[in-house]
Amino acid sequence: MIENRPWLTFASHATLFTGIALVALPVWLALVASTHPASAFGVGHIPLWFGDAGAETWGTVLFEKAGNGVDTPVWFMMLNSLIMALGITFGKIAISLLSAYAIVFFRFPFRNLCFWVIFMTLMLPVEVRIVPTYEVVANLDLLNSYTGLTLPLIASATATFLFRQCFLSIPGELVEAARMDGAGPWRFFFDILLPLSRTNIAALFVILFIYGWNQYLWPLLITTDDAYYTLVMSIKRMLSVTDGDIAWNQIMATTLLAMLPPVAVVIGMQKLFVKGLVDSEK
Amino acid sequence: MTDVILEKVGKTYPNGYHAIPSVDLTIEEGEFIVLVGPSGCGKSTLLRMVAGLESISTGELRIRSERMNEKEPAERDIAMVFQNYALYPHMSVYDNMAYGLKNRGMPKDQIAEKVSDVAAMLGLTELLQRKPRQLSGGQRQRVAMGRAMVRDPKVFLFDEPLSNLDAKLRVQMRVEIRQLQRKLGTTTLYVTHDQVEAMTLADRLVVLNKGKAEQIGTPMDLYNKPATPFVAAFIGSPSMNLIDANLTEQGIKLSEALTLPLSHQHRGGIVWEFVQSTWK
Ligand SMILES: Nc1ncnc2c1ncn2[C@@H]1O[C@H](COP(=O)(O)OP(=O)(O)OP(=O)(O)O)[C@@H](O)[C@H]1O
Ligand SMILES: [Mg+2]
Repeated sequence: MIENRPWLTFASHATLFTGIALVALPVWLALVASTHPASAFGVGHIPLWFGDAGAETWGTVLFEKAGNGVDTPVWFMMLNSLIMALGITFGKIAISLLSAYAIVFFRFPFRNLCFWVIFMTLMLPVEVRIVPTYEVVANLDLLNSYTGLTLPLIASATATFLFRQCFLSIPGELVEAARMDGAGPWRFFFDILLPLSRTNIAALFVILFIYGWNQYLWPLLITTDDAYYTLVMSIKRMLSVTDGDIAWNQIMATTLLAMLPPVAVVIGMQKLFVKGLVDSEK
Repeated sequence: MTDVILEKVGKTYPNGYHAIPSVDLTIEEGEFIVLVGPSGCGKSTLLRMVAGLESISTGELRIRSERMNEKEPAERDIAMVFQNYALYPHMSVYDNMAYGLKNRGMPKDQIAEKVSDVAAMLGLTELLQRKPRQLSGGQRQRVAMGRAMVRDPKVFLFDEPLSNLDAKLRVQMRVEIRQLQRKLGTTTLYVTHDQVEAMTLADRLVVLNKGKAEQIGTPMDLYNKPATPFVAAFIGSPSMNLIDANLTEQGIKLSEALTLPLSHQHRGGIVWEFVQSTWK
């Protein structure tokens, strides 16, 4: 639509800015809150402009301890979260690439059965199978470990489906051309299939990273050792202090820090992400 | 020297469809053989069996007197050009052509030499760094041929390689394919449903009908002496007129009123041969 009416431009921009303000307001409040001393919140009003305790709060939270009963610094929990999120992301991508590869390109007995079994796991997210999964992980002695944090979350059907669709859209002639060129199964996988699903992998990376980063219930359940606390779950821990005041400034700073990595991933991979969702270059 | 031998080769698809009952074909070295026939007659099936992309259900395929039935496509020393080119979209023209050689473990400098030779022959030298999507249809076709040529295969296989090009380009590429084939002297098996293409390219034609080879011969043979009514009707444009008739003692009886005596030479030539073949 090519129209040039000044008031229309003005109205649409006004709407956009209102939207941005509404969405950004809580983030702004959190940012402001983290710069005031903890006592500022007892009086019942929310400050709207920066205070002067910012440097101190952020320094403590980031490098000493997050506070409110959580004694590990944020950078350390961030590392744990990162290990968990990346573990889940790469694990899921690797497993689903391979299973989709098997299902689409190989003819083996019970192929359809395998497909449906994978399909069924869609109906069983961690929350549903949490008790038996806990039991298994506990029996394997994996409580308080990175393996325990990531492994049960890795097996998933969603990504398998995405790659299956992606592989199915690869023309048969291309597969045959590769066969004539002497590419065995592994060569074909690495030389042809992976490069062709590059954008899909990137899109999935973004989605899965955020999924992994935001895991809450599972880490809460299986970690009791400070050394394995993840950032997102410890925010909840920080809220449940029994005695004394809740140090909101520290919580706000921690929350903002917890938001950073997903934001960074989204911004950094935006181009590939969009391409992966709309792309059809094959 | 015979190069490719198909001996009673037949194909039954896993769903039970009997696509090709039995085909016998002997191809001499350097020959250009064209498979023609109506859609669905089994041209691609036959070609793909030679390529190794479909298994051979019955019979035997030999290339240079070596049995090929159980060999992988890459081990048969053949190269194929596909209808939709099937270039690897993420690789440059150079890599597309080099990929097969790389997989064979050829040293890098040798690959570079080969690719640039073939690229020069096909006029692709300027385009080597481009991706397939940055090429026109005709250029993609050339790259697909280049990819087949760099490997110096014993046999070229083409499955309707020109059907995606416009009419003018098709004529031009046709000439070019034929010239290249002569120059390289590589045995070629070429599938098309375009008769003009078939008649102009082929040393010998194979007319397929429902999976059976109706006639195998030079273009002029097929045109002048079709062995069956099917071939007679299929070759030539506009196609030959066919009239039902009965062969009787008096001659060829076209209707109650009209009987052509057998000795009726000036019309009889063609009619007689045709009748002969239907009579059989
Ligand atoms: N995978 C398959 N399974 C079962 N039947 C098949 C299969 N592929 C082809 N056919 C059948 O075999 C017959 C021959 O097919 P083919 O592809 O060889 O035809 P064609 O001569 O190449 O036709 P066209 O000129 O349309 O490409 C067709 O009737 C087709 O339906
Ligand atoms: Mg075909």
